[in-house]
Amino acid sequence: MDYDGPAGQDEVVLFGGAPAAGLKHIKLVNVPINWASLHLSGLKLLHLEQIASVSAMEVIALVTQSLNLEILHLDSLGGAVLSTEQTTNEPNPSPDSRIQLTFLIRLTLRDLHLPFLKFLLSAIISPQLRFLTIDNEVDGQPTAQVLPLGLQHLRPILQSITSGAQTYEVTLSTWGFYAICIGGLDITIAFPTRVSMDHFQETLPWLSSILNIEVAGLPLHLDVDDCYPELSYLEWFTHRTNVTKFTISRDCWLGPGPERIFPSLSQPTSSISPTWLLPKLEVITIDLIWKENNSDIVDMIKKRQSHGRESTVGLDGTLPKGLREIWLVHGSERNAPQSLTDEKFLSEVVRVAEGVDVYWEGKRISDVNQAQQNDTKAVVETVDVTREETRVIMITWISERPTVDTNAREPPMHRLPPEILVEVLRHYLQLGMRLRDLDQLTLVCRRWKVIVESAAVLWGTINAAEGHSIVRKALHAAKDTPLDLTFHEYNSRIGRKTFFEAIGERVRHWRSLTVILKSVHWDFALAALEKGTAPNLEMIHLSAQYGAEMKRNTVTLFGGNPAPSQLKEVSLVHIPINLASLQLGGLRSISLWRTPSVSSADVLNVIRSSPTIESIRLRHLESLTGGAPPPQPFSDRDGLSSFPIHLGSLLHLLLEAIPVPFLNHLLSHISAPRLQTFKVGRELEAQSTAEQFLASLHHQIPTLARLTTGAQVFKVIVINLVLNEGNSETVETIEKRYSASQMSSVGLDGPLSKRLKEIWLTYGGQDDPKPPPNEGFLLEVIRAAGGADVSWAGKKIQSK
Amino acid sequence: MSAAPQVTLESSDGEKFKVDKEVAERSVLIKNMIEDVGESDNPIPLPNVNASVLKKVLEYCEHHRGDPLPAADADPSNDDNRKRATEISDWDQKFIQVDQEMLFEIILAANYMDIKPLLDVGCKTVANMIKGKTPEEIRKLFNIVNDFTPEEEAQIKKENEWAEDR
Repeated sequence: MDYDGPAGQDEVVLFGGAPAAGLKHIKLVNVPINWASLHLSGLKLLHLEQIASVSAMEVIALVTQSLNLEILHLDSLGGAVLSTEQTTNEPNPSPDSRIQLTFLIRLTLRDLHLPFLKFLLSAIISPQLRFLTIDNEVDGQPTAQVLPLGLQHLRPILQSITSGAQTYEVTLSTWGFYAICIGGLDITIAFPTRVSMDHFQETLPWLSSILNIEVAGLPLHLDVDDCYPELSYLEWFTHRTNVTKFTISRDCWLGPGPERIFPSLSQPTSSISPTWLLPKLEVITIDLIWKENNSDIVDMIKKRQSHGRESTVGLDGTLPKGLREIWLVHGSERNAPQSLTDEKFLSEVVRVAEGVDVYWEGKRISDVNQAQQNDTKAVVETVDVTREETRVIMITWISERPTVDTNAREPPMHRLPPEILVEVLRHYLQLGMRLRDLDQLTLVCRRWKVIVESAAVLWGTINAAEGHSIVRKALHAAKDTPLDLTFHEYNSRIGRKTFFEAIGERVRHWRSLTVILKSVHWDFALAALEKGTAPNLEMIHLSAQYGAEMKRNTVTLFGGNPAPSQLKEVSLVHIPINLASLQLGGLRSISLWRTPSVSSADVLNVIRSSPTIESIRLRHLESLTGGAPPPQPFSDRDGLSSFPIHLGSLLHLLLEAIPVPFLNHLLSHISAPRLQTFKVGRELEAQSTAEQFLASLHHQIPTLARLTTGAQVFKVIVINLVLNEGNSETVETIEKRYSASQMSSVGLDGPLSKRLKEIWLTYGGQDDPKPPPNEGFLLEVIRAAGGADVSWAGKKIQSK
Repeated sequence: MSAAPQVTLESSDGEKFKVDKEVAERSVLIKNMIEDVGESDNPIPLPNVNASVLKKVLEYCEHHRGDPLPAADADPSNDDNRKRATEISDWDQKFIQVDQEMLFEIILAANYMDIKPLLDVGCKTVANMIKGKTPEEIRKLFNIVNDFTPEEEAQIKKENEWAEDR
């Protein structure tokens, strides 16, 4: 709704005082409106200009109730006043309490009460913002003083946006403003007075410092739209920057500009050297209002081709040979010639462009018929009939889209708010879909594109198997989300170096890192961890090919500092990490396999400092020698105090090919009442090792007894059943359980619990068919079981 | 034996539903409301949920009345939680076999009434519908209009190309 009413009238009550339900776009200029009656909410466009009757709180409430806003324009709102206390109570709202305007594209704040302006800048989050204009000159508070404050608030957003930006645009004006567009965000900075050359020259380093990037080195889009640039200013700027895209339009043609900007257009013999102009230019946009006779443009394009190969610019110096695109637009309503889409002119442009892409009003034309298509005309007509600047922007923006029947019912899917669609897509990824599948969803419609690309939480799980572009896109889109990274060299679609350099920049956001290398070289993989800190790292799994452990000296992570306190899971295969320097503690699991750098003391220290550890897996660690005192035989009187290390949460313990003295020491010093899986393995190659190991079992048995006090199931594999040799020991074990005192929960010999409920007997020999069970033995077992169930070969048996 | 305490819920179109408090309290919104204002005979208004949707939501709550409530801080990286996150029970699958209009209404109601397990069932169902489909098939499925210009679509497709990856 547009309403341009005269000032100074009584308050206007719209719709006879009825609520304006369903209203999505509202633009009011200088009209004293009665707000209360409208009950506005859910707006997509809100434009308020010269409205004194609206209060600051009303505006804030309106914005809060219109989270789908795409355009917000607030200009000269005399009644929107906030006291300093109201704004200083919470100068920096936390991200949670800010107003999340996910779809906001254009934000214009002009001549507002300073505290209110400051509040808005700090209270809004708008990740998709593309155009920001701040122009404040009320209360003697020029924008130049306001802006650094606004940029302070925007800085974190800017920095995250700029990290992946591929395009940059700058608009210059010696009259009023200076604008920069970085990674899709346009910022217009207005100065209260004409800028002096000194001040003008300061702006580049100022922008570089505020944005924390070197602006001069960037590929820039220079736009002299809506201003009267002086040649000396332009010359200064283009000499110090790298302009690849140039737009000339509107008012610059109405002032004294055109002949001076492009001397060769009308004065080929200008005293100004023609080559100063933009040798790296790739894209030029020209507004056709500047002359009724367009033949000069055709000439300009044609001349580009006429110069020798050695030069990068055309004969007249206006357009470089590297030019790729020419955009012709009709962006202004003033002084417009009658026949804009003159067929002859467009044909000529296409013909002389010779391969350079030519666009008319945003659409590429390869012949004139295409330019004359109805939809293109429609855009022009819409612009022509509109006389107000902001309206032009909006209509242009909307009319780029295909016609959509606005009366059609919104599809039910669009009723889901963004956060629910994000939830749906989280489940989508959990169904095994990859990030490239997610990326494809940006093609569904604009709404999905915005939501998918702005939901950082969807992009945090990154696998090198997805390929380079997706990894890059995900790292950018994930913003500050914790990253779960996987590089599996066997299926990676991105080079090792590239991947680790890309993720290395984000080491502070790593949550988990899984690296499986098929070579013995892991330098790239660990470079970031060796130097920097990864304060959020919770899990690390590093695996290299066998032999890697011999290739290099011990690797020290985190510059020798302790590991982050968040680190809960560590798994190393063939990589000789300096474990001592990490001072690991509070781990949930540790797995070490052929890591020759670890010592007995290292491992014991980790286990001792991790009382809630759930899983310990130690395999082929020949370096675990010495230092361990001889094993302590267990006695029933010792109780738990005889185990200096109590691991109340340990569920899985795997010890394989560990030197026997260390094995004995470990088993004699830990208690693990909740253990579910216990495996000890040893390659018994040499006679001495076998003897040593069997001897050590003597020490382990009492330890195991302690471990089994909670067991309710006992499984026995009886190999010698038929021969009846050794079976008596089984019966004895079961029987002894009852012979101990009432006070003890374990039997006299310790291994079996009194609470035993099931005994499973299996024939473990190789004979086929299996021999029948020895009945005498089974009866003995049933008797000794004293009520516990006895099963033979999977079936429960009874004495009958 | 005294009867289980009950509460009355009122849908946006004015229909009243009397249900066991235990059933209604599967909704965190209602649970908090009851805690805040205390038990009363006044119906609890649910202005965002109409009668047909509320009936369906209450059917879900009734079936799951005894289930343990999900932990607010369940760690999604935990394997058990991740497994749970992708599965839908047989009963839930049957329950959610409704037309699209109703499916989205149930999701919105579950979100509004703060019934996390029902919201999950709804979102998983939509995720399953999207799985394996092209953007065009998804548009057709949900009646979404392609509002990109051909140039924009071409540009996005170009950006999404991975052929050069290696």
